[in-house]
Amino acid sequence: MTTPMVPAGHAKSAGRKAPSRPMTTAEDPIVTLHGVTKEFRVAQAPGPFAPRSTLRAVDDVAVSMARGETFGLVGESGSGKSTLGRLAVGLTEPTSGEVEFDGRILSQLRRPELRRARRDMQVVFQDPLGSLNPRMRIGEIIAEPLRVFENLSGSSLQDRVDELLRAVGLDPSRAHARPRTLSGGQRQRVGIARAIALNPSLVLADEAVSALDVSVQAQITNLLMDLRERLGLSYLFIAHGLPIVRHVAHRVGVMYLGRLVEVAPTETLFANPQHPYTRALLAASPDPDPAARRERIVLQGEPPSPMNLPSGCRFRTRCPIAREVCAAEAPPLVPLGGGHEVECHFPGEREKMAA
Amino acid sequence: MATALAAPARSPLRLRMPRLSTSRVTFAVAVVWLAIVAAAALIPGLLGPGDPAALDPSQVLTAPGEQALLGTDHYGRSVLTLLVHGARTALVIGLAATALGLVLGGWFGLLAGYLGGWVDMLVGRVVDMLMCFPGVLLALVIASGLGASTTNLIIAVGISAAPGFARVMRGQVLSVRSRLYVEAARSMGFGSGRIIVCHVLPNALAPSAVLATVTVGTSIVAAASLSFLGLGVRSDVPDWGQLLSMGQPYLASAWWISTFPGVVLTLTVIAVSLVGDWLRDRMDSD
Amino acid sequence: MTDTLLRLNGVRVELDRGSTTIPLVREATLEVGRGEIVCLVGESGSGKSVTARTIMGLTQLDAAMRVSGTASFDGTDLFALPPVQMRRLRGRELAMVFQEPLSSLDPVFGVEFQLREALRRRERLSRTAERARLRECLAEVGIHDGDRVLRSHPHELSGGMCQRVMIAMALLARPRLLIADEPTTALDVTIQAQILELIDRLRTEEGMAVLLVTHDMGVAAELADRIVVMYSGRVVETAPPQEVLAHPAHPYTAGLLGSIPPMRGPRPQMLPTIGGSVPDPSRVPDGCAFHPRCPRAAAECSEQSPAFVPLTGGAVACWHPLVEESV
Repeated sequence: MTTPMVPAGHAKSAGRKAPSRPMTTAEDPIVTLHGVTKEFRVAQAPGPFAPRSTLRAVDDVAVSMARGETFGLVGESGSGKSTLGRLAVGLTEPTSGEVEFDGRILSQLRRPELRRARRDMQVVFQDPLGSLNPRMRIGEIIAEPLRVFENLSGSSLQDRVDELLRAVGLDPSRAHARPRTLSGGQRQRVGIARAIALNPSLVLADEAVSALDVSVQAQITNLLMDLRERLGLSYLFIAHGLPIVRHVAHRVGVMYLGRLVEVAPTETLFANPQHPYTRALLAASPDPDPAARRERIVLQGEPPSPMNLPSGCRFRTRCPIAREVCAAEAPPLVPLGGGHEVECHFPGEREKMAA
Repeated sequence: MATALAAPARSPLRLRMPRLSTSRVTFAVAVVWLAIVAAAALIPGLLGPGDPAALDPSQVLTAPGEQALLGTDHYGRSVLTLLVHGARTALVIGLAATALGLVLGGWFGLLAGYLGGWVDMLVGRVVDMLMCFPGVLLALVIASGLGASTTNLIIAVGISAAPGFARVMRGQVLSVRSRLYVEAARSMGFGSGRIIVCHVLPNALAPSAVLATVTVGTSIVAAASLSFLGLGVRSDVPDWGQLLSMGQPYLASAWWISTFPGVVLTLTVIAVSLVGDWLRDRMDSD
Repeated sequence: MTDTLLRLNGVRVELDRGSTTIPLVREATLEVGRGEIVCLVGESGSGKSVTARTIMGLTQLDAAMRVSGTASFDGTDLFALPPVQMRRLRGRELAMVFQEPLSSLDPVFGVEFQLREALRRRERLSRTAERARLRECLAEVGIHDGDRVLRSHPHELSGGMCQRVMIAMALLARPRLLIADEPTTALDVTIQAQILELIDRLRTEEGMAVLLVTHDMGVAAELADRIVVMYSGRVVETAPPQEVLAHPAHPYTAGLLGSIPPMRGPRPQMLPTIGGSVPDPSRVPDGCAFHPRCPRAAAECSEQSPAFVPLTGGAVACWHPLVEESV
């Protein structure tokens, strides 16, 4: 696009730092998942006495995020990306494995310590309206954590709320509005203001821009990036839209049925995807660029049920290059250098992929 | 022609339909009636002159007319004065019993819905058990156990109303608890107490508030029924149910003793439920 | 367009609120040729879905809706058609697929019953012939274990599967125009790719015309023969995809395309954005509705609504389209 457009609401055009390139094991990690697994018991039929089975939403995932890094997590519904995000910020506890936040193992913390740590990890949700209490005014919503945790009140509280509203591009005079009277973008700005109120170091953005209109999506994305620079935030950025992840993330992880199947620095992953699923995902992502010349890979079939996983590699049932070994053995984790890792028996092969 | 004439005559049941063009009028009538009842309860002297306990042997069983607007009973007391003074009893019992039921039932419903697990199981079973009895029967059992007094009547009727509130509150809390803003509050690191009081309760209260208005009406009826059976207030306190009961032997000769309390009771309950309907419509559109 | 199947001209849809009327669609003018895929692109509040529903005659079922303008389908004036005939047209000549596949199927009935019902609107066959026809139709939309799917209830199927069933149901009538309202928005991208490929194939094989409503420029780029962009209830630009994507003429189209991060090449520091948000239908600005957000707005933009100006392969409604300079 050559057309110059109106600059973003935040005119501050401070240069974005060159993306750092942390390895899968980051040097100065803010959060590290050590072989984390999360299982849910699911009833197979409605009713209290129905047989229950185990759904493994996240299966033995080890990954680490550096301080100040934006880690993009992509995958389709049922891939476990949301569960992984919730595990990383301590919103849910792993069935096995450990989550280490800022050098401390979360499961070993006592209750008050855990609640302290929780303030350092905040969440911006997908549905901005649903995540705001309809009975509260937006000023109250933003003030609540400050009142409870920082004992602010009176004019110092008022000043801080105004400051936060301005930081997310809202007029402080809107503090008396209720969430319902705001537009989708404005609501998400409120959600972001609440998330940064306690100066967290890690923010989970769980499909935070996915439900917004395209033009609003760009505004909110710019806001998130601007706050990252100003506040030194680390983001765990979950999205199903690949273009937006490419835009914001330093590193990207691809999930399929509970496994992290490929991790790489963003540019490497998009330019040189090695896992057949990543390649299919990229090929399937609609791109309005008229210059786009693309591989045509339409995956056949649907993901298998997470309660009845295939043997060996779980992508083999839809994989265009699957062979016998894929059904027999789980694929190894192959390091490709430069922080690029892939879990596949035949990484990078595309023989049978031309369709 | 016939239909045009028939149209204005509406049965009391149809009065409750909210979308009739007359709904505003019926609502206004209901409010005015409740205002009269409330005024009677607050300052009975204003509407019903005389002492409700004053016996006048010369005026026993006088038919409604110039001397006594609504007639007199077998002790010669004015039925109008008794009705006016009975309004206080009815309203106090109706409101207090509802408040007791709301607080008691709401509290257990809130705990059951929020905590889930065995608490939910236990509360659920107890509520199911209590709900097996018809409301009045439960109140009757409790009242006969406690003995007749105004306080005991309130306790009996209040407890029998509690399971309904528990059930409504639990259901609403279950739904509110899974809303995203509650999860958001949890993700902020707020404690359970704060989440319950600031985020769950305010958003779960509306259905209970509507139920409360209806319960005020049913509690008045339940209290009157217990009084009718002699399990209610002390006999020297004027009360509609008691009056109904006292008039019963005289139905053939002095119909007015029982009829007027019955009419007043019915009108009050209908008026309360009309206001409840209005409240529900307002809350739904909110 | 010589062989036009559907032509909308100045279609206006208003919601009558008693004291006020709210224009949901202010001016929809577009054409769909036989066997052509036209993508109607816009953000929420652009009126794209209302336009689609109005073509199907569904908007008109609401007594508070006022529809004006003309819609001619193969020479028939859709808005003048008596309800009985319109109903006959729906489900035979015109079919529609909705965004939420799960809630568009009736949860109470099995898939087979619902498909049979749709088929019987078109033709009466023997029971075995019916079943064979259903299986054939499911195979056409890429469902190969047709018998299992026919026996299922909607909740037992995945979203992608339900959407296939919905498309199969629409296809049973062999419609000449399929209107698809965000058919893939609720689906994952790999499933979306399957459904888009299916729609494309059906167009080629059956010569069926498609009006696809979407908010996703990428989807439109993938599939469309022509793109129609709507903003705030009005069609603002229409052209073949290569034109729209490479040389957008309307500043809104340009802004929309600019705010999508690129999938290749250098990553910009900041995404270009369109300031503000889509106006509420009850408070559409005077003149060109886009002027308060437009970087090229001049005095006339706030006074008069721009007329359609023809361009290479299309048209634009703008006082200062972006083509002037590139020429």
